Amino acid sequence: MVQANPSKSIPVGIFVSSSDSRSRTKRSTPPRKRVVSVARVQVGPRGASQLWLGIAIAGATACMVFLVGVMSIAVVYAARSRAEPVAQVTTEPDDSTVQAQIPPNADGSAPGPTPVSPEVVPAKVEPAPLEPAPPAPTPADKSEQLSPASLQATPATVADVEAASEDSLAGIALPMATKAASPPAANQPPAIAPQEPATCVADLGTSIHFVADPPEAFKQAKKENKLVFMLHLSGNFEDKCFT
Amino acid sequence: MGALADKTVAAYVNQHFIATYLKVGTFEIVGGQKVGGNVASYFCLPDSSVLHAVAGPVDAKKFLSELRWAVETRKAAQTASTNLATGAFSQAQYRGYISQAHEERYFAENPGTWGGNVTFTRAKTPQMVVRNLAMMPPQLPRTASQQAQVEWLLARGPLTALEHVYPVIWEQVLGEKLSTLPVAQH
Repeated sequence: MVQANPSKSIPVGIFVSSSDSRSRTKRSTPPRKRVVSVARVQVGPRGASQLWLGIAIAGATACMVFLVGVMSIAVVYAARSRAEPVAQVTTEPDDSTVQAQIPPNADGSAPGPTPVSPEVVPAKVEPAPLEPAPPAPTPADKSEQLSPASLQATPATVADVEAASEDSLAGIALPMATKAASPPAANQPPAIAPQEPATCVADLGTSIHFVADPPEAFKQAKKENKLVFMLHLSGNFEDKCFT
Repeated sequence: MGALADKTVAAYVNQHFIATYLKVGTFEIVGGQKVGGNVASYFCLPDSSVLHAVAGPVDAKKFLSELRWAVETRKAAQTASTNLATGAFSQAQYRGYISQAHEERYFAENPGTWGGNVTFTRAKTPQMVVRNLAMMPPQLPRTASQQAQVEWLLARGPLTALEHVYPVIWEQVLGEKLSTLPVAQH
């Protein structure tokens, strides 16, 4: 039997067994294998908590990293989704359909799946001037490839569309057709002077009083016992250029 | 039509006529130049029967002359076809008077077609009216001047309604095409 040596401190983890303690403490070097096995048994309650704590910390760290990654991806994605209209408008100025459908907040209307008519496109591309994009190309720069979108990207056309009602849209189509059919020089007034309002509609530039309605003229002639002077012509008598 | 800008013409028109206008044809503007297009003037009674007509553009002097001719011829025809004693009016005489007036104008426009030294004599009997008409060409004299063709047409059919006269004058005399198309610029 090994006597207990009071001078030596009992190593922690060994004093567990309930068997003969004297015989065990008497050994100078306890069997390693047994100590190990005892140590495993002894370390269990404290080590397990530390182990679980470490696992929890590692898991929490992993979750934090994952969340941070997800959040950063979300932030980047959101930033990209906000920046997309700018990029598309600036890089693809000719795609009128895409331009019309991307910015739904231009006039508050939701973008529709149906193709947008060229007359409506400029109103939806309204935020274009707010973009830090390079200035819109002038018609002179794009005289060779004139598309409806490029024509409507000009500030004058957009302003016209903004100020115009549905009734005046037909009037806006006229400069568009002029641009498309002829070089940019056609933006200037045509060679024929524009129609001037007659100084007196009844006289039509002469000293003769003309009755615009022929039946009314015959009726008036019968009443006044006069002859009727009927002028037949090709063109518009109201316009000096067309008579 | 520059004649309409003349003040004398305008004053005469305003005094004796009710003026109106109608677009019946079109023309084109090619390179800033007017291509095609024409004008015709009709002097009508209030019932739309054509008393006289002028084909094509004329100057102010000529136009004023035609205006006066129409007014004076109407006055003469009314007087000749009215029994001044009773006030009875003869429409046949009225038409005959107008027809002979255009016959005279036709031969005045084409002196060579009258034939030799024969001069126009106003018919005073129905036989003379038939004789004068027989001396006119049976069809529209396309070789004659435009105004002579108009006179021939109105001599053959005096006081015809405007809707029957103007297509012939516009298309066959003036060589234009009736059209409602707007003026085209190229």
